Amino acid sequence: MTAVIVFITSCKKNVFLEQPAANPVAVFDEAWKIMDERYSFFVLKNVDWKEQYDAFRPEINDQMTEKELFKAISDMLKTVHDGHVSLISNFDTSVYTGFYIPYPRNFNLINIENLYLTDSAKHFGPIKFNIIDSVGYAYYHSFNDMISDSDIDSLVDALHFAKGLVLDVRANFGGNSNNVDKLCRRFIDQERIVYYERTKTGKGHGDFSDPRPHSLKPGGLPYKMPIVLLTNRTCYSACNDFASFMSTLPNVTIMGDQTGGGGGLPYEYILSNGWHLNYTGSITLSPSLQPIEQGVYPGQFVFVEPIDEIQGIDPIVDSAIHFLRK
Amino acid sequence: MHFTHRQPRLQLRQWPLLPILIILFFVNPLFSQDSLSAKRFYVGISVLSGNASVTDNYFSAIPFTGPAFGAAVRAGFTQRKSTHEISWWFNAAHTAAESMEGQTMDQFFFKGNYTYLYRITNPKRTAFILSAGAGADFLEASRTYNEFVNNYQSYEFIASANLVGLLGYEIKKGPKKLALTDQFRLPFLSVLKQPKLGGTEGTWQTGSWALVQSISNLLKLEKDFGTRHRLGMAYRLDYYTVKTLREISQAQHFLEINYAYRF
Repeated sequence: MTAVIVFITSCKKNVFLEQPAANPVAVFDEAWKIMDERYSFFVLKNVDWKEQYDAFRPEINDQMTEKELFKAISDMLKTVHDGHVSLISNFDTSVYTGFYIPYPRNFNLINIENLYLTDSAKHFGPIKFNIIDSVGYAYYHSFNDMISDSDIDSLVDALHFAKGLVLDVRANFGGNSNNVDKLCRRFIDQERIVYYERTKTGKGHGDFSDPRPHSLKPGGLPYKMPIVLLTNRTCYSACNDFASFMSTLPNVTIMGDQTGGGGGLPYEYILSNGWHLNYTGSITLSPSLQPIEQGVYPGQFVFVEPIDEIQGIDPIVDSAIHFLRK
Repeated sequence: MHFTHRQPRLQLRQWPLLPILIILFFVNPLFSQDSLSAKRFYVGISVLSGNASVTDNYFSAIPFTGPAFGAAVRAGFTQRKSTHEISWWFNAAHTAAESMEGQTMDQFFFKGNYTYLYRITNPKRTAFILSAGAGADFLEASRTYNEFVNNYQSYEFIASANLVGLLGYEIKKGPKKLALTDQFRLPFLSVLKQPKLGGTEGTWQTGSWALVQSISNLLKLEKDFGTRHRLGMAYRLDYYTVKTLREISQAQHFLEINYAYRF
């Protein structure tokens, strides 16, 4: 009996789950390791992650403050240039914004509301809509805002006499991919592959599954009239996926600036000190099997110059309406 | 986000109850009929109360720990020196990340097993019980976390072939005896199913010690009431770790109250 009790007691060290170490050195190493084993774009972006470890690790010691550690890890994470990679603590959030901050905005919501979404505009769920010169203009601000099938039905009904649709997804940082699917279903008349996805199968930087297709079937009567999709650098993540798929449809033209990218699914990990590390853990490929992490290019580049913003006009919308009226 | 406190190690809240088992052992001897030579069927049921601690390294190295409650049923057949038993137990646990407020995880756990044991020591010559045998078990653990970006439900299904041992000691008083036993199981071959990274679709893997490491203990103390009814207490410890890309470790500890009916 005594032996049994001693046996169980002696198991304590091995059996009971211990708290991981949460000192600065351990947390830095943990963040680096999670990224090393799980981040999906080291190869595509030609990032030498070990080199980043060697560059940042000497700064780390157990005497440093939380804020110093936070800055060091954040700086290291920003070397992958990925908006899905972020670090969140109870005192700060670090997100890479280099995919849109250095570039022209090519969008001014106030001008849009003054010019195109005036008092006559309708709201179909999260979509704001108006008819301008017999062309439909629809603005969808965020794929986080849930859209219903009846919202889309209303949009399609409202386009009955329009010559086409200008669908504006600028400043749309993405969100719920279910909304992408719902919208895409109304623009196809047969089953189509929206994107492919490759997920990690091992800890190596190149360990990925074969591309797995994500396909959609049509939902309701398809809208087949010409569509101009407006994008800029703040069209990111789910919005980027949407632009990638729409670019493959024969009746769709993309105008504006390229999208910001974000071609992979973000995942979350809690570091041992409680900070949240978000990282991209998969690779999204376009229907033609091309990575879309670096963004989707428009068929026609059109820009909003600073003087346009001052004058309250939006050449991208104007070009799209003109294009559809031709 | 709040940080509460940090514990150097998970504390088992039922440990203080273990001395009760020891006291029962020495102070209140429990005797049962010596039925070594009889062939008997039995069925039993147990209620379980304890806690579960899970480290799911896909989400964090921080353990999620919390109370767990469940039940077990078993049926068996004993002969002079051998025992066959099948049992099922399950529990539901509501856990939270230690040292972090607001991160919770709910788990449903189910385990079934078959055990064959052969008594090696001769009961007429020694009070020590030493039995050895083999078994098979399967378990399924299914978890849902409250807040993770793209959090897909985490689960694993494991089927294992085990070596099984039983250690014990018995005190005889005429035809009656006291027996306290501890059964432990070690898997040597396992089949595992887990979701792929970034989805819920399962993927199968097979391996030995390198894939699934596990130990399972059941420390029992039982008393007969009449010739057919038996009540008892038990301490159950179940631990396993899965060495895959989605590395999981889990420790569960329960105190049980058992009832068995012998035919």
